[in-house]
Amino acid sequence: MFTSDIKRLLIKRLCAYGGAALGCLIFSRIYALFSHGVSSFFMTFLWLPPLVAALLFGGVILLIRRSSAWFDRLFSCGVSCVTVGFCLRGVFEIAGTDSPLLWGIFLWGGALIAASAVTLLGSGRKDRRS
Amino acid sequence: MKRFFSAPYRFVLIHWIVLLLVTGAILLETFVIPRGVAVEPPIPQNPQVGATDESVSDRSTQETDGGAANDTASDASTQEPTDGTTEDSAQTEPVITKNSYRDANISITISTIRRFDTDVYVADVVVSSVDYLKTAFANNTYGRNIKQTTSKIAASVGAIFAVNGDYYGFRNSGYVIRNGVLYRDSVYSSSREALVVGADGALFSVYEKKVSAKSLYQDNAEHVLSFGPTLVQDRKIMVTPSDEIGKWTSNPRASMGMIEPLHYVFIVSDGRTSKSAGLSLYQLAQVYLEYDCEFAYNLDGGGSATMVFNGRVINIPTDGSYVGERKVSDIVYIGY
Repeated sequence: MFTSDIKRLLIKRLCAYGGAALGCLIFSRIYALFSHGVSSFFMTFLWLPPLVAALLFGGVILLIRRSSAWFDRLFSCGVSCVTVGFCLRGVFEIAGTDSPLLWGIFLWGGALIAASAVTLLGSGRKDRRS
Repeated sequence: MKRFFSAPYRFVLIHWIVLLLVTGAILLETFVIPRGVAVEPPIPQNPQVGATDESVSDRSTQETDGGAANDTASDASTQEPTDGTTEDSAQTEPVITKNSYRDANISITISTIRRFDTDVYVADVVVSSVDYLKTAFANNTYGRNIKQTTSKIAASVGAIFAVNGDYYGFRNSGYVIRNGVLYRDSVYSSSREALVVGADGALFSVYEKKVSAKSLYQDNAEHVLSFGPTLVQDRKIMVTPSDEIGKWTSNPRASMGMIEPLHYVFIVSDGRTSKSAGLSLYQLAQVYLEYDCEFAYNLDGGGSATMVFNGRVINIPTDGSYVGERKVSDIVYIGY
């Protein structure tokens, strides 16, 4: 991938993750208005996963100066899973309930992020071979 | 396969569709889909509490010998009235007014007071035996998301007086022992305190992390509810002004306390209305101290907080937007 392409992808993704973080922040603040003073770490910090994703994505891309389509897809899908997991956990904690199924979403999100890292490493090896 | 998913956004689109479907399924499973997991009590089938078989028979023997509550497992699960003959005779000629009930075994007086800019309903209850302090499940069934309003559950079991319980069916963990039957023995959290109604009618609380449901069951606990926190213990307030279920605001509350064994105080407060702000846990504890309570424990509040007396809802239940009773999974009641 050319440097200009990487730069374009980086800006695009940082805007997307930043926008998602802002959206999550607004959502959590609005949700707090209707939760009768009950709070949850996961709802309060709902903006954290997309923000950390933006930093991770930006950091990795700037560090290794390459990307791949599958890394991009898997990473964004993993982050979306973790963010939805945060949101559901927050809603459940505020409501005073729980669900064992929630771990499935976190695990799936973690697996996708791990798979994205493997894909990125794999693409690096392929590049070196070629 | 790889080529199919390589098309721009196809993988992401499919991922989002699946994620939304899974999210919907989790929300439905958590909030909507009812699951009656144990109409028959789980004790005999549960290997984890199988060791209590001996104590089950012990308790049955004691109860039979004593001629008191003959709560066999199936009796308790279906909430059948017990000791029909004795109690029927005791029920004769009760004196009932708008705010009180009195017969040979049960005395209930309900008063409304104004505290902290809130209407607070206080029920002073004296019973001759712990057998008259009972609990009941919605639709007579133990399970998740099985719900009825407090007044409907109360009517179904002929309760004279009732308040909502701990809404155990909204969670997958937290101790549940009702009418002498152990239904759930999983710990909710390390800080969760469970309310125990002992065989002598005494109320006390234990940390679920420290005391197992099995040992409470073996110690003849009549009921165990899991919500909390403990408001008053040894006539001392156990919460701080900043303590809250989830944190800081005033809310409708439901709670129960004890002046001495068999002499109980139930307090339900309004809240989230223009007329009533609601109580913080600390304020609720302060009201209990006014009544010289030795012990008090917070039950499920908010929109669940409901007090029913003689088939009439005493308080104004509201979740802040909808005024009316919320459906809950269980009640604590006084009756035969």
